[in-house]
Amino acid sequence: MIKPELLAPAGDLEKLKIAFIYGADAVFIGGKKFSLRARASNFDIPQIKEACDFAHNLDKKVYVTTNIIPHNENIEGLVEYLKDLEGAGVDAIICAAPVIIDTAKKETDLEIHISTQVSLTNYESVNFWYNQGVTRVVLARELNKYEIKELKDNTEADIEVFIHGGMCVSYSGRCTLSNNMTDRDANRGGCAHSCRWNYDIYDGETKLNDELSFSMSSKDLQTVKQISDLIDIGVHSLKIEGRMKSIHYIATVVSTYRKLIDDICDDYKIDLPKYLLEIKKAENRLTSHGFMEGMTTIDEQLYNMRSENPSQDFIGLVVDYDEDTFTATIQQRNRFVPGDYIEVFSPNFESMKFKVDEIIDEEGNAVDAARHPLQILKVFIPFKVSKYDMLRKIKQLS
Amino acid sequence: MKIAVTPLGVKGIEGLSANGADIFLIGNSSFGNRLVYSFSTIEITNANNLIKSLNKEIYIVMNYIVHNANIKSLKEFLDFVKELDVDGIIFGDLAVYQLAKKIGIEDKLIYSPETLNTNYYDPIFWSRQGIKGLTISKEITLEDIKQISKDKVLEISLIGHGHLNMFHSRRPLIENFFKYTNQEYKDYIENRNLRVVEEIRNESYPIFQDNHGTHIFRDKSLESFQEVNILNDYLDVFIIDGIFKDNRYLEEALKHYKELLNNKGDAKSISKLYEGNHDSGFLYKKTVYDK
Repeated sequence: MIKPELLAPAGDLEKLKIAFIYGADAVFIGGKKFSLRARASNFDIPQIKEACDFAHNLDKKVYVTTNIIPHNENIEGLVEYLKDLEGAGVDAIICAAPVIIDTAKKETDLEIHISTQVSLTNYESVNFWYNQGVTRVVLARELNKYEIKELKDNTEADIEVFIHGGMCVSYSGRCTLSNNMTDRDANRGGCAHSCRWNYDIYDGETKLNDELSFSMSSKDLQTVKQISDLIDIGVHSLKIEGRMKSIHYIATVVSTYRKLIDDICDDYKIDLPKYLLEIKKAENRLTSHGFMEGMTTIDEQLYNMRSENPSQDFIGLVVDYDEDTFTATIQQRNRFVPGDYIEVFSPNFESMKFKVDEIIDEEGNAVDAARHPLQILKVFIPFKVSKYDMLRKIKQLS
Repeated sequence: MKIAVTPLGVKGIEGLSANGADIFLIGNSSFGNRLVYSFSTIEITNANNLIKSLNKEIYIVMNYIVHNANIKSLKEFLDFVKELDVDGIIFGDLAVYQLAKKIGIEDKLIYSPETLNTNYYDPIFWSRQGIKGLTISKEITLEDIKQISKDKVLEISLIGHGHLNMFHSRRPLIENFFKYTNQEYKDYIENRNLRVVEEIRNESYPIFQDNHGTHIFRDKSLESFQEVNILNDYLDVFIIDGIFKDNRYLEEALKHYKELLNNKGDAKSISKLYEGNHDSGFLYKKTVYDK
């Protein structure tokens, strides 16, 4: 059995460090150019270099997305940009367009991965790109685990599969709803997520839905139950989606899959409910296994639930801990007050709990509530915690 | 520039030919997406014979997304198409290229992946793969179309007229919604009379579900009457797609384009005839992406 790579998203350097600390083997990031998710806080070249240096010190990898479908106006500066990525030490680029793939091949030695934006759904199309010198392909999210197995058995290419996060409702890259409805180009980073909006459906002039809108929106992908199968298939890389997600989301999701993959590969007994419970703490949209078990049913769709519910449970990040005084320095992320019950969550997947006593601000004053985002505060924690541990509010200690 | 059309069955071919169509796009729904008509293999053979007897060209539409389970039938169908000795094969999935190459007919292929042929390098890349042509994506401006087409390294086509799609999902979205709301859904599969309306937009988007998933289309059809003579200088093939329309509409539109290409008729007044439910798509509309 080969242990697959766990690949996590990172929208900025802090998220990248969190992803690695919480167990990712590699992260993918967006640069300032040629990347989808134009609104994510993408990295400039010095930041990409810093990311690569940080990763390589840990013997980990950084991939950069260059996966837009470029129009003529987008091509200028491509050679220089790809050379800059190579100079920064990037381990691979994730591409969708022939112009980017060929330019990278001609002008650099960058490793090339094919993006899910081209929706590779069968082994023949995967082998086309393998024959073009591409080492890895990211498969379409429309495949079930049996299709993935058949595909893997018929190609030499490394296979990367999405295991968690948001899903396009369409075949990725085959959608211009956003272009047509909002003038925002979905395939150049401007997607307005029109597939998640509410619609009425008509047969001619007859409306077919009542108060409940016609919805196409998809639950997010979550494959805790399928990881064992994907490892058996020999999938090379297991990918988590979400460059715009919070550090709490990344830490929770990465550490859960990290522990799960390690336990499966080390042949430990797998307690699935434990992993499911843990990963649910990062959930801000309902989840399902997507296409993994076969064609999607109503259980993979979201109905009547347009709004997302970002988790408010994440209240702070540990910055430091003084073992002599049992005092943790934390950076506030959501409101909490003395008397709240807190779970400390760390990269080793273990959690411990305590009740908040006093909250002290930087001037040494006790405050009645931690109100301000990113405020530095001190809290008594009766057990050792470490930098980058996270604090979640819970209902009770037991 | 040749004009390609999508006949509604074998019967529609002669009329369209008489009105000046040069190429006929013929497909079977097992291998083609969003077809105006699904030709059986017997009908494809008949259409092939008829089109050849009219000294016109036939392209087979095989623009579906291929999954592993389809590969066996894809091989068989390509063998059948090879025997027919058609003029072109329109494809959207690289599996078709891979298998066509194995039987030596990649030089018939025209790459039409809906959204991926967007810049001047795409023809260069695909000409190196030894194929016949490519179809430019639907969200490209007139200025970009000119640049993409100008080097003539392979045959460049564009859907210049018709009701363009904007979304393809593998999910059975209509069936699932009706199941969720406890309504009978079978009447709504393959039903091309369905449309969706977004809650704050006064636009109506045709939608249907078939064996390939769910498809959604633009609210208006594209027309290029005022641009056809400019496109004539750049394109090799101008496609009129007749989805949601009848043969009469197709013949009418074809007649108008032919008139304009023969320097007869007035483009503005023809455009006016189509006003209301037609527009110029992305020909003059640049999309944004960085805010």
